[in-house]
Amino acid sequence: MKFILICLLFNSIVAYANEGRWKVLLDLIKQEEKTISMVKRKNSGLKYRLFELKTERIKIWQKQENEQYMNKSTQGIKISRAKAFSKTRSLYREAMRYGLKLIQSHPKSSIVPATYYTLALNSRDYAQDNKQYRFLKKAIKHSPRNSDINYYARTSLAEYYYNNKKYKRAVNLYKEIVKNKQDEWYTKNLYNYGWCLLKTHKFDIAINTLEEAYRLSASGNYINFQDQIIVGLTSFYVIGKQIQRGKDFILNEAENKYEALNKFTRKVANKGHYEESLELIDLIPNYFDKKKEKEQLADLTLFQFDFYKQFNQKKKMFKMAKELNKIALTNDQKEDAIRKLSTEVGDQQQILKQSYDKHGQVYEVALLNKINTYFDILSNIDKKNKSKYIYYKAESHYAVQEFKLALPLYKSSLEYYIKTSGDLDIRRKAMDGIFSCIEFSKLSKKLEKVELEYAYLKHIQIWPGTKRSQVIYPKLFSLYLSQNKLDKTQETIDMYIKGFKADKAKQQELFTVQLDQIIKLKNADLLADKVNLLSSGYLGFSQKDVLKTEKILARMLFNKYQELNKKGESKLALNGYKKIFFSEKYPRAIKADAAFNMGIIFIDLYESKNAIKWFERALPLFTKKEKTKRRIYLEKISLRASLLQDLLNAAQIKKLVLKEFCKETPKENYLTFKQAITFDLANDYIAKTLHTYNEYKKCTNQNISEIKEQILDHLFINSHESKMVSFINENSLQKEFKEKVGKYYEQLYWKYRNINKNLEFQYESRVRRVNCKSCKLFVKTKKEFRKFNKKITKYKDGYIRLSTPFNPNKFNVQLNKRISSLSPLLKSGERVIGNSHPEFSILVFEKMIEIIDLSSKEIANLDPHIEDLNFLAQFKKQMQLVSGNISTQKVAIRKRVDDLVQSNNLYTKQQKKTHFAHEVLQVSDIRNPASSMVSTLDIQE
Amino acid sequence: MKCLILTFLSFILLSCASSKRARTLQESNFDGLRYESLNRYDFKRLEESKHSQKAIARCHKRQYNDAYILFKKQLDQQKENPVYWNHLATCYLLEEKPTRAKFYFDIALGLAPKKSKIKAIIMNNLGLYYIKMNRPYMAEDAFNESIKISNKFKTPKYNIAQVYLKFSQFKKASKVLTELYKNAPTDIDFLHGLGHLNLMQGKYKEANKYFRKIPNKYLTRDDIATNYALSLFFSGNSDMAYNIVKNAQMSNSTYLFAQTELIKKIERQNQ
Repeated sequence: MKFILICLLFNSIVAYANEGRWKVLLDLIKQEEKTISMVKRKNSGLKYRLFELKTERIKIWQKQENEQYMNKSTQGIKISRAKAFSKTRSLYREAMRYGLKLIQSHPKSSIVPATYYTLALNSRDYAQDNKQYRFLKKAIKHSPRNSDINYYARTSLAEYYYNNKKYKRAVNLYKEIVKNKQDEWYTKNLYNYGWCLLKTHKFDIAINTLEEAYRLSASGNYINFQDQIIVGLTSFYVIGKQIQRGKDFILNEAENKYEALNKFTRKVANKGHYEESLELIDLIPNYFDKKKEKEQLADLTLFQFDFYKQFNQKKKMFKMAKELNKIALTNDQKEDAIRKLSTEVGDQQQILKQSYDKHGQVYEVALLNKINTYFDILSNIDKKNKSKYIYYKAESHYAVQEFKLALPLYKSSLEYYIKTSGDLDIRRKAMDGIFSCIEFSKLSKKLEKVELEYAYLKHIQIWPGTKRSQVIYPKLFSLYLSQNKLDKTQETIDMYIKGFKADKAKQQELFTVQLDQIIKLKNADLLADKVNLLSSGYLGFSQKDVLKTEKILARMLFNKYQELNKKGESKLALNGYKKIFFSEKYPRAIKADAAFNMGIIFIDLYESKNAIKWFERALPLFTKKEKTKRRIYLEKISLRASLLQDLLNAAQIKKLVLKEFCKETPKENYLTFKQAITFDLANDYIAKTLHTYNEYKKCTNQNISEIKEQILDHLFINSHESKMVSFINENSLQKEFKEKVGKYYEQLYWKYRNINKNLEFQYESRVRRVNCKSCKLFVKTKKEFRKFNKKITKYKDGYIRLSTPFNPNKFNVQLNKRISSLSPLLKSGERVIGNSHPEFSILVFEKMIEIIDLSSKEIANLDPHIEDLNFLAQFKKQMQLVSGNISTQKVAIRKRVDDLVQSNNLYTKQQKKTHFAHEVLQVSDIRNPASSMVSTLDIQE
Repeated sequence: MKCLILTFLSFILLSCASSKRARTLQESNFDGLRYESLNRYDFKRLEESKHSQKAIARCHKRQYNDAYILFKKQLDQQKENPVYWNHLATCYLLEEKPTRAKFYFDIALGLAPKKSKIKAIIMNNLGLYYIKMNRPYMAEDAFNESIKISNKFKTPKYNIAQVYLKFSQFKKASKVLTELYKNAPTDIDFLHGLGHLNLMQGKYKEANKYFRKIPNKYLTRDDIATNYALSLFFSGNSDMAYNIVKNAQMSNSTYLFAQTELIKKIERQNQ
């Protein structure tokens, strides 16, 4: 492009330069004309000058118009010569009129011959109006015999005769002219003269004349016409049948012997001189220019090819063709060679075919091989058209029904064209050839498939959208399918889609067939790819179809691992599922199933923890519907885990279900929630239980009182006291389960009574706050028991203080008072017992025994200051009796307590002094701990 | 001081551990419950019994993990069998995992037909659970339910007697223990139960009658030794009481204090 621009610019510059120069020249002519015009009386000389100036102007304009004409021709603009040179012609006519008028005005003037001569040359050079001859004749007539004008006019006339094939007249004129050896154009005149002699069959003189002209040309005194002359001479020798003379002259005198010999040989050959030609051919290489040796050799070989062709020397031609294959050729030579070889090989093909048809379908193998070689040579020389030549080779084989050999050639030609293209688009023809060859080659089924695959594939690659391709796609698909080349079937469908978007139904049909085959082959990986493809909307298959395929894939994938698992190869099965899960290629639903199945296997392996891990991974991948299905299973395996003593994971699975279905199924979640709690409680995992309760209670819309009570009971029975208190407070259970909570608090009160003051006080307060029915009895009885206790304290303080000296009367009053105060005290205890609070009743009885013991001991231990020892002894004896009487009440109390305990089935820990075995229990409480004494019942006969 | 406390605690803990199977009986003729319970089978008896390979036998041998594996293996075959669940629950009970035990007892109960022997069995064992949970009323109810369903079993009667004894329900205890005693007069624990019952009612001589029937080799058992020694002591036979208590195994924390106190008391008395 850049080059073209530069050229255009250069041309423009040159044109501009010429234009300027011409303008200057024309201005000068105009100026001179103006100057001459200013002369009022112009003589013939000035007028002739004006004629010359006009002639000059014609010349300039002719050049100018010629240049424009050439430019337009180059640009492809057609224009008639008359139009193109209109100005030249016009100026010519003007000059001619002026010249003739000048001659008319000055008929006797010396300028007349020159004017005629100029008119003749003007006619020859600018008009070709056949006036040249007349003007030359007049110039000769009006000019003196020895004048230059006369000589020039005659020379021009001789040329005129020569050019107009009036050789005899020309010979006569030249005979005179060549006498003038002063003319620098003498050699040219000789040359023309020689030709005229030749034309008049005077060969010897003609050859002599030209040989002389050739020699004189070399002398330097004349214009050098050697090149033209030697060309002429080579013809003269041949025409004059003086080949040996010609060879001698060339070898002895020709300036460029190679050129002369070359031309001479061709002319000799053209005239049918076979032997002489061979002789000359042998000589030529001796005169190769060392710098152009290769080119000249190629020229010679090309000539020889033609030469042998001329003489029907096929073998030698073939040899030359092979030689050409070895030689570096110039572009022109290449073109020449291609043309020559193509023509020849074309002829050979014709012969081959005709011979084949003629001789009952038998052909000459050697000829076919030769044709092949010709095309190989052509391919080598004309590399860019190699595809074409290979195609022609294929055609040659096809013509003689060598289909099996033709087939690879057609393919090769096609491949070359695809790779490098060429002048001739052979693709369709080659493709037709390929299909035809496959049809007629009688290939084995296997090979036929290979070739058809190639042909189909190439066809759809080259012409993906043609009608023929539309038919080919399904065929290619079937071909691949029959060989289970399932990657190729997919590629074919993809190409089909690209080429024919409207054929969706057919493409879907093919895809379905492909799926069927994949399923048949149980190729799960590939089916997974297809499922992914379908899921992406490929070919617009319905969601139903996608799901159906996914199911098949799942079945296919999982069957293997299910079988492994059945055989006890759980690890292998797990690995398989794991691979599926972590593979990018499988769709979400499959991964979900794989993870879920892993969970199932782990459950079977009693590895619930792992199972849950995989269930957790699986569930978010399922659709809502699938998830619901899996829930049923999860509920079942949770139950199974619990039966397998894996309560932790049984609960975890339940929680997993709750997490996934929290908002969706609040009614159904109740049971799941309850079971999750039950499992956690069975493990006695209190933190987990409470977390489960707090986290998932929102997942059900059912009344969860029962669950709350279950937790409450568990916490109480299992002595998780602080947790129980928190649970009660956080969930306001003191309102919901008032009686139970009160009862529990009270039991804890009794548990910690006299053991932990802080807890004792705490639970007492809680009982008060709950204010349940039993709580009220507790509070009331506790209050009365406290009063009773105060009375006891007061009673204790009122012990008998003996006076010194001992005053019996005063003592009697004191003793009566003391004994009589015991009874109301015990009665006040009875009032507390009347409340029928079992534990407080026992406590009251315990206190009664304590007081009786105290009183009994107090009286028995009285030791007054009595000097009379007899009296003292009597006193003590009496006191022992009183003490004994008081003490006897203990037996009754113990009996009452025993009755109370037995009749009310009272299990109390408060019974100590009231116990029959109090003295034993004082040593240590040896009552057997039932928990260590009891026995299981575990033999079933 | 700290060192002393630790030593004492570890001693107690060791005692607790060893006490768990302290009530085993080497001879089956002393075991009135031998056809109902493996509870008092010693290791040798367990090994020799036809039940030795059963999971429940392993539980009694404290081979809990082996037992649970066996249970798991049997699950699919046995999952509808309440006996299976009763055994599993009992195993957890023996392993001191009462909440788990309760969970499986509930399953067992759910599968057991009403008024069936197995239900009686389960109720007995459930009673054990309540005892462990320190819920004597519930335990009593469970044992009673068991007896009500099947009066044939001695174990729930023996067990309920233990509850009665613990909570001084002497009349009821007496009735049940007497019945058991008549059925198996050589059963060590029946004899001990009756001895203890009388001791707790201050009937020392009566108590001594039963304790005397216990073979000497079992008199070293801490519970028996302590009870008998106290009974002897309060019945005035301090020397024999001293001998008995001195020969006690002294491996059960429950009785250790009583034993020490009694020894001190007798020694003081003798001084």
